[in-house]
Amino acid sequence: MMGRFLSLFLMLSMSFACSNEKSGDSQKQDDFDRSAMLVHWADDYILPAYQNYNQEVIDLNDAANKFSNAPSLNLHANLHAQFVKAYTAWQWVSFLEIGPAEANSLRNFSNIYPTSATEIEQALVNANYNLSLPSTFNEQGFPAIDYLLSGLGDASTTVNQFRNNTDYGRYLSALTERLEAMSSQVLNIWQSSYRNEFISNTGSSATASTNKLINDFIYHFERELRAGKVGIPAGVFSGSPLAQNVEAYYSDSLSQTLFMESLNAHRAFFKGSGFLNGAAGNSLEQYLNYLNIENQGELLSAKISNQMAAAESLAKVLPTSFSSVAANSNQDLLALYDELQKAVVLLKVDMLQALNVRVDYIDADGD
Amino acid sequence: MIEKLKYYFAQSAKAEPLAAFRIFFGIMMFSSILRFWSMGWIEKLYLQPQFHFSFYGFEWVKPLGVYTYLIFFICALSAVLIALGLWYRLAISIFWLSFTYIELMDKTTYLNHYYFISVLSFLLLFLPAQRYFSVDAYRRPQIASKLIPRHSIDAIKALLFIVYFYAGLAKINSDWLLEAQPLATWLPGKYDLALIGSLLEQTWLHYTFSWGGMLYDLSIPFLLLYKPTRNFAFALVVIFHVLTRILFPIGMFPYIMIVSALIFFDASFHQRILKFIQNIFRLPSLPTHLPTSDKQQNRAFEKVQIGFITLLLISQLLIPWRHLFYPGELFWHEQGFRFSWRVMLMEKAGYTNFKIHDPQRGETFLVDNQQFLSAFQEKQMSFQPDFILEYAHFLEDHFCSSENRGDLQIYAESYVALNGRSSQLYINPKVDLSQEKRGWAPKTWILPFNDTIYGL
Repeated sequence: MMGRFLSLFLMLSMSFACSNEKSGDSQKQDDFDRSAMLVHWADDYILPAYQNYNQEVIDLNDAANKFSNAPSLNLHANLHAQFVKAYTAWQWVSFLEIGPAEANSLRNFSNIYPTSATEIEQALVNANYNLSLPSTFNEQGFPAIDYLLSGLGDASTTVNQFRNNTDYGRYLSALTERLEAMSSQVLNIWQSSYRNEFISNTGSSATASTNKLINDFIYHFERELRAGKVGIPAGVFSGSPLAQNVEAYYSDSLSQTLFMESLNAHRAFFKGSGFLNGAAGNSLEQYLNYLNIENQGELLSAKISNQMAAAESLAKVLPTSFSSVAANSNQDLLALYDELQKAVVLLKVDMLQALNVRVDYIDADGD
Repeated sequence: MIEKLKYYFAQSAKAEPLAAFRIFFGIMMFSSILRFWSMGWIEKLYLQPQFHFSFYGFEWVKPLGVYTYLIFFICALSAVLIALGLWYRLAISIFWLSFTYIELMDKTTYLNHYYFISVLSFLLLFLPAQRYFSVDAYRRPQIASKLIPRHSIDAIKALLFIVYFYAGLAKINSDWLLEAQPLATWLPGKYDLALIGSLLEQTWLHYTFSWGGMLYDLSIPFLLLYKPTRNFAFALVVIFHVLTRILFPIGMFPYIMIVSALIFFDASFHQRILKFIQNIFRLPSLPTHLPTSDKQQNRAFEKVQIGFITLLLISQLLIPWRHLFYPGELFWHEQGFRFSWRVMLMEKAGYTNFKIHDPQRGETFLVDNQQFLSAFQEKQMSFQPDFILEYAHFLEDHFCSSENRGDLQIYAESYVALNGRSSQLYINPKVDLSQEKRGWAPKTWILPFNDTIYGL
């Protein structure tokens, strides 16, 4: 009897396979090339963005060492300018928490804010600090460097502080060196092995590259861009504004720039613009258009782009310091938060459903 | 009528099908629990989350910390005893209780097939599955019998009949048949499958699978019951469930259904299976002098059993229709959606945030759901109203006690998308959920669905 079942099964599956070949011609043949999308992401966005970031933190480390060795107003200005460049470059790689970046908790070690001035002051007098402990997230990375460069007072006060107490210089160099080491490590692994792993992991499971990176992207948009940079300082989660919780709090006028960079990075990734020349390749936008996903009579991809543009137009007219916005005209930050929130709904509900991407970390059964 | 029933319940049937079913059931359950455990899901689903979603009325059923493992262990052990037919009544009772307890601990993990197992094991409680080819029968020849009441096999068939047929009825709706949803959303996501991957993007295939699935569910119980089509039907069962196993993450369910469908085959088929098992394990031969009547059982006890079985089957026929008491679109409000064999019908996703207003302190703030819920819980909470309400109440209690606040108002900002439609506002954002009661009354704070789905 089993034999009969088996032959029946074979017969059915064969007729199945044959009928496919015939009707295949009339159907759309130009399958969206998802592996090409992965290659495009890896080669035109991720690798150049990491290379750019790595160069900026190498330069940052140089500038920090020069300043630490011979603190001066001039070198402080150079260092701060380089700090801005490196922090800006960071915004383009921050959401890529996959592969070596994920394994090394790159984001947590690079950009946890608010930083803790008290813990930094305690740590820097101690010559053998261990910056690889998770408990030191808020004593290192860009926010801690921001504190050392701009949190001690104005430029001349800072220079004096560094001159009088070499603990500051030593700690600063340790921080920039660590940023450089982490960045180099991530870049090296991407170049030597992870790129190939990334582009060949083409499946549709929860751990496949497409699924993971889309989840990372949305997670970052929701929790870092919407909540971290805007919602938390605006007091959305606490009831009253928390002006000191903005990104780059001590540099003061940097928070808007960093927000805009991050928003642009998200938009470039969504649209598939290459990092260096903006050349478009296979992207989430094209993927949605390929599936012809409409949302209330409009292309979903267009709605998402428009929503990001709406957030941008609100953000670009804001004062450069989000902490002063939070303190003086918080309703503007709240309005920006609302626009970002609308984008999150489109990305997290409509786009994820359309692309049939399963939400991260969930591998339980369905029925 | 009464005479006919009396005649029916007096009939006997060969014991082999039920004995084989018992063995398969035990093995399947044991391996399911083993799989669940080895995936690390006990830890992830029951130990890590700090909050658990309860079924209304079963709030007292909670994970027991590290002792949760013990429940799973007991459950697995009882499954082995069921397969062996050792202390059968005790084993199946413990299995039913422990399995059901596990399912009630957190409704985040609710699956129709877990519910099926609970119902089936409750049914098995009243069936004499230990009378043949079991350790019990070997040790206590006085209970052994080659015959069992006919209704004990028919009851299992009836349950399977209901599950399939109701699943088929539920598929008669405009989303499933006219839009091929949600398959049109799910199947293209499996583009990477060998051989059929690129096919899964074809629209005609979505419709074929939708209509085929509906016709399969509606017809398969008849095809299995009718002897001339039985072999063909079983082949369909195998193909259908293997296909669902390949396409969807549904764990052990397909195998359980395939094996369960064997109950429709004649005793001679099961005889061969049992013979096969006997040969492999070199089991002692069954006594040849087994009574060929099943009259030895206590008549009163049997009447109680028949009563329970009848009640169970009637309730299974009725419970899936309870959604008729609720106005609006069932897929949208989900009142009466569970426990009614509505499987694979919806692709639903949501995004729900909670705003807490403290009138005394004049503060308003949003909640970071990840502070309290696992990613899985947040996902399930975001589109199911009973979850949303329960969580809102939890948030009220949490912020009242941990931050010493007075009366709080809890508002949900919720967007939900169903079967490929645009997301729309789901919960009335003006309703203070802290004032709404849990229960069976219609939930008036769910906003109406912007579209119509026709059908059952």
